[in-house]
Amino acid sequence: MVFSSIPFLYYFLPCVLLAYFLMPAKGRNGVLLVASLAFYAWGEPVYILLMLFSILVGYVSGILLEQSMERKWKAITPKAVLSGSIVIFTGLFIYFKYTDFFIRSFNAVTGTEIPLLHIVLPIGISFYTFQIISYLVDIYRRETKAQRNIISLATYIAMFPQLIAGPIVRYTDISGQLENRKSTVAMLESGICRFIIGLSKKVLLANELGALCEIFRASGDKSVLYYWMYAAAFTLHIYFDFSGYSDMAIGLGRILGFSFPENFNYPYISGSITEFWRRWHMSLGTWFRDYLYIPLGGNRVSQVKWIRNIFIVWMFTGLWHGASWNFVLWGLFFGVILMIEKRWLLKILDKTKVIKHLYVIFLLLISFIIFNASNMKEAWLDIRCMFGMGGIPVVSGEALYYLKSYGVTFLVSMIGCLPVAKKFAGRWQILKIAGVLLLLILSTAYLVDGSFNPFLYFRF
Amino acid sequence: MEKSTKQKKWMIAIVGVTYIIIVAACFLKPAGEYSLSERRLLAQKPMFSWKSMVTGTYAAQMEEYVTDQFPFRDLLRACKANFSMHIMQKKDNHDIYVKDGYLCAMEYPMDEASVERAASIFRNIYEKHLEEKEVSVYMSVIPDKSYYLADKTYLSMDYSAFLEKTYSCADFLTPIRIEDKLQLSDYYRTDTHWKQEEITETAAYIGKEMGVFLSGEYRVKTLDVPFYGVYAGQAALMTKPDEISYCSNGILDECIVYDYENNVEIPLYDESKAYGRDAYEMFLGGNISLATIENPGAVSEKELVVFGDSFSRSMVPLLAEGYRKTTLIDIRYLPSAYIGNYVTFENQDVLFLYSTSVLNNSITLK
Repeated sequence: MVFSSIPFLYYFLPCVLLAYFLMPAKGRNGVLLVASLAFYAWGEPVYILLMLFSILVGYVSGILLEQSMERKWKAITPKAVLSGSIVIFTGLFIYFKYTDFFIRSFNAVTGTEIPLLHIVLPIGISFYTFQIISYLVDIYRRETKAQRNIISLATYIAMFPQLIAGPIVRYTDISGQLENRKSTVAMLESGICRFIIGLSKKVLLANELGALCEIFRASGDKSVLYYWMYAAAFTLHIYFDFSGYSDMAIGLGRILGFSFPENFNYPYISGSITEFWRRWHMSLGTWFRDYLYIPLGGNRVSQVKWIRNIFIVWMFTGLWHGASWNFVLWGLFFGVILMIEKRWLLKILDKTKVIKHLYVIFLLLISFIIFNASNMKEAWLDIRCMFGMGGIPVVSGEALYYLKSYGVTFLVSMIGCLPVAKKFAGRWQILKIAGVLLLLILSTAYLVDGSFNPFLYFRF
Repeated sequence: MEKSTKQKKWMIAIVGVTYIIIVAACFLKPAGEYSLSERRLLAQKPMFSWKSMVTGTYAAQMEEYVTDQFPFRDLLRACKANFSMHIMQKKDNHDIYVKDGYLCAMEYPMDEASVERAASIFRNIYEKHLEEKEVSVYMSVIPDKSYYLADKTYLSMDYSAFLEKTYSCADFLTPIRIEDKLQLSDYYRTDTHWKQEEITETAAYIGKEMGVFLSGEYRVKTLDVPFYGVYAGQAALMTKPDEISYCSNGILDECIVYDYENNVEIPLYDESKAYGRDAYEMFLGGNISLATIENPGAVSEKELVVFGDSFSRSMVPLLAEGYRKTTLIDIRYLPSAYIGNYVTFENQDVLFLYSTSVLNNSITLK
């Protein structure tokens, strides 16, 4: 089930909210857990067993880890428990997400024809696996205590607002709220607004831009202009889709009394790629920083090791987004740019006002072309065509038509990438109420009309 | 109470009440069976089974059901269409645009393989039933509205290339080109089809090319029913309805029409259908696969066989005036392989009468 759907908005959510707020505080985690499992089972009933297994292993590992740290058993060291549990979770993650990728790559290199397993990726596995690992590592680092109440831990791992598309909420962020939380008027109001704004970002902008990308892909009348439009449309599409989902998750969290971390902070206003990654998918960036980059030594190592660390982190960042070589290239693309920026470019960029933004936008357009290609060959073809090397005209009639047709959508989307709308909305409460109501009705109207409504995170 | 808290409570109250009303309507609204505006059956509540649940089909069908049965569905679709086209300035909604008051579907791009497929089906019919018989075989292609609206504002195929391609692929048929005999006003504003009362001269021209004289004198009866064509529902835009009329005269009044699909005699024009789901279905019984028109008042003994789509349903009654018997075959519903079971080809005029939109989407032809 996805948030931007009629079953979720008008059937599942009201039932959950009713049960949740009617239940005394003690039983609310239980309601949330049952709702989360039902939410997950709705689309993928088979993988509910995997989810329950992950919860159980996470729960037992957490307690074992804590007890081994208290030296209750001399034979079992904390490192062994942590390593064992990480092997289990990463093993499952790699099996479900990367087995076919490895087979395909092996076949391509060796010329063998090992059949693919066609394993269906469990939705949200990339998010909840990372959450469980962070929970266990944080216990190991003595930053938190193991959760003794399995309902509370299961609620944290399976919580439906952030289960399928993030943000990656760390246990330490909400451990207190799992035991004791309040839904205040301020949280309820901001949660409602945030959820509806996220919904409209997804339905009114992301889906429209996504439809344009689909039209482009199916077109037989491509041109250089059309390729650039496609690059711009996809760059905006993925931002509004992903940040829209994060907004909905954060909003739902607030309605239920939780404070989830922010995940996006107007990334397209960045003046460097370094800054971009501080503003884009922040929960993933900080996860890799804290649980991979720093354990590898971070930048407090020799230059050779630092370069190694950067490559490892960005290769995994790319692979996390999808099991394909173009995602690896996408991650390494950023790794190389970040290294160049840190060594030389940041100082130069800091001296400019406009060029730094054009530089960021240009690189992002190229990066998302690589990201959205179905394979390396297509990525290379797309980039060549963008620069007029594909034997296609500069302008085509279809490109001009869709430029006119989507002109306002592009304009609104570009304005939506800036913090201006937020500043404006804060000043006019009556307009805010009317605006939020209008966005809810319009988003519903678009969903009822059966408009294009893809779910990007199946491959994440 | 602090001012900002009061405002926040107002926000929660207003959005909350609206949400509760919509949710209540979702649960209370009885399920409908058919959408008149979209001209389609609405999804019904799926049967639950563990298998359908595990495979995910139940979830998918349930989503389709609750979306189809959503309260105020037509109003919300109209909201979306108007917001999309007037605020977001989208040029089309579901590939339908408005130009000069006409709703029109973007027929784009030209699908050469589809044209070739249609021509291949026609060729098979020709070689199997017509080639060695004493029959005269003709073909007319009916341009869709875009042909008369086409400019660089909207996407449209190259109609000249399309017509040349079609006629050259079907070079075994004698072309009767009618694109210059028609104009935009010959079509309904809200529907894909042409108006029967506006195509009488085109009918006379086709008749003349086949060696048949049509009187061209008709009584035109306009029905007292608003006609919202297929594009009105698909586009979901607020549009004025069309009027629907039909042409008759003393000869046509005496014609006997037989529907072979349902084995029943039917009227040439069924006014009751004009008040149903699709007013255009009043012409020759609507979407039936095989019908004949016996004309006792015909001057000649000639017979006509028309292979056609829905456009032909309003054209064939006019052509029937010049023939003793006219047979209309719709190979979208009657596979062409079975034609020989129903029609004997001997000493007839045969006309293939198809619109560009069917030829460009010939997967519907069997």
